[in-house]
Amino acid sequence: MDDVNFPNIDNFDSAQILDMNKALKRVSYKKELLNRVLNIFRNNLLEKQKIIESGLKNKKWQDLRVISHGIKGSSWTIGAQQLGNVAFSLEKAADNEDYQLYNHLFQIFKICIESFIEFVEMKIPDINF
Amino acid sequence: MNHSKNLLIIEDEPITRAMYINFFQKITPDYQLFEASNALEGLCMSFEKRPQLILLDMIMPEYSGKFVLDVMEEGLSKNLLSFTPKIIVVTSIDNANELMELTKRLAVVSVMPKPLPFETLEELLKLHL
Amino acid sequence: MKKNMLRFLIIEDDEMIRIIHKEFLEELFPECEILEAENAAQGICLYFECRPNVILLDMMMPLMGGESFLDILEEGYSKNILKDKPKIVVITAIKDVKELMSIGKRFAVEAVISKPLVQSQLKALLDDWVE
Repeated sequence: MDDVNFPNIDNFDSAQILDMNKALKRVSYKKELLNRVLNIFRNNLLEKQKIIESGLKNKKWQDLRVISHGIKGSSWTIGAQQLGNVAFSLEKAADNEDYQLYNHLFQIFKICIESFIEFVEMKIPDINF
Repeated sequence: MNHSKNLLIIEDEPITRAMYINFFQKITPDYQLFEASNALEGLCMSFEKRPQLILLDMIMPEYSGKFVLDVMEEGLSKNLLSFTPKIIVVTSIDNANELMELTKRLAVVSVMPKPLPFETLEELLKLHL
Repeated sequence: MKKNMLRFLIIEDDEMIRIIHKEFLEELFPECEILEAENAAQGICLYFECRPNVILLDMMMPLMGGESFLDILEEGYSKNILKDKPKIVVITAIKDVKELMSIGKRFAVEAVISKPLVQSQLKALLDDWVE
């Protein structure tokens, strides 16, 4: 299958990994709340990553739609723009039941999760992931 | 757990519903009878009237009996209900596995076939009321 | 709506978003009561059991979505089983304009806000409703 036209990670490079200003605003500048919320977000991401793995294997498109949609919403809420954008693409691929595209984007998604975790650990040394 | 002396029938077919009402009027004259013609109305009535027993048709257009079971099950398992729904499910399914699954659902006390064997129902009522 | 009678119901499957909503509401209205549901089924139970007056409703949730919640409320009111009308604020990441418009027309829906929620939008609505 021709994936020459599939987006690659560069397509998502311009988006911020985490907009700290947005994130802080979201939690009314409460640092402890931010840490708590980022922890939950990160744990949920890793959980959802596993759910997507199995959902994709079994081609559970409705489940993949809902879960991608959910990640989009929570990512954008906390200012994780890049993750949200990838999730948006994932959602559209799930809408179209496009296995190749979804799988391709999922690989990008996994890299973005890693980048996100690294970024937060760097910006917030006491995050304690 | 104060249960009223109410009974609720959730059945979309008006003639079938009338038949059930007639039956209950004879067998349980001291109970107040309530009817719902669809699953949504049925749920509303369940919460409002807190019947001691609910007779639930599984096959209904748009929202089926499964919807009622899903909500009640979630409510029971998460401890959100101030009453204990008891549901007699009426179904024309004859697949043994499916029937087994139905009996296992929370809130379900019995599974009855269609057409309803009234003698059996009478015995059941003695047990549950 | 009086401040000390405020009872919120948050119906949202994402834990992080639920916490953010909750903290935000608690800060605005320290005396309010806040109920939480992870899906529409829980939301339905909590609605009937506790009769919240303001509901923050997510649309796409696993198991049972916001559509079911709206459907059951609509049915309850049209059949005169439910009497008091709550105020529903739909907060959704749905982007399709037609869908959003049709949600906006649903019974008891006062506003449809896009995720990520702009908190000042929600505050403005609530300020309008609360004495």
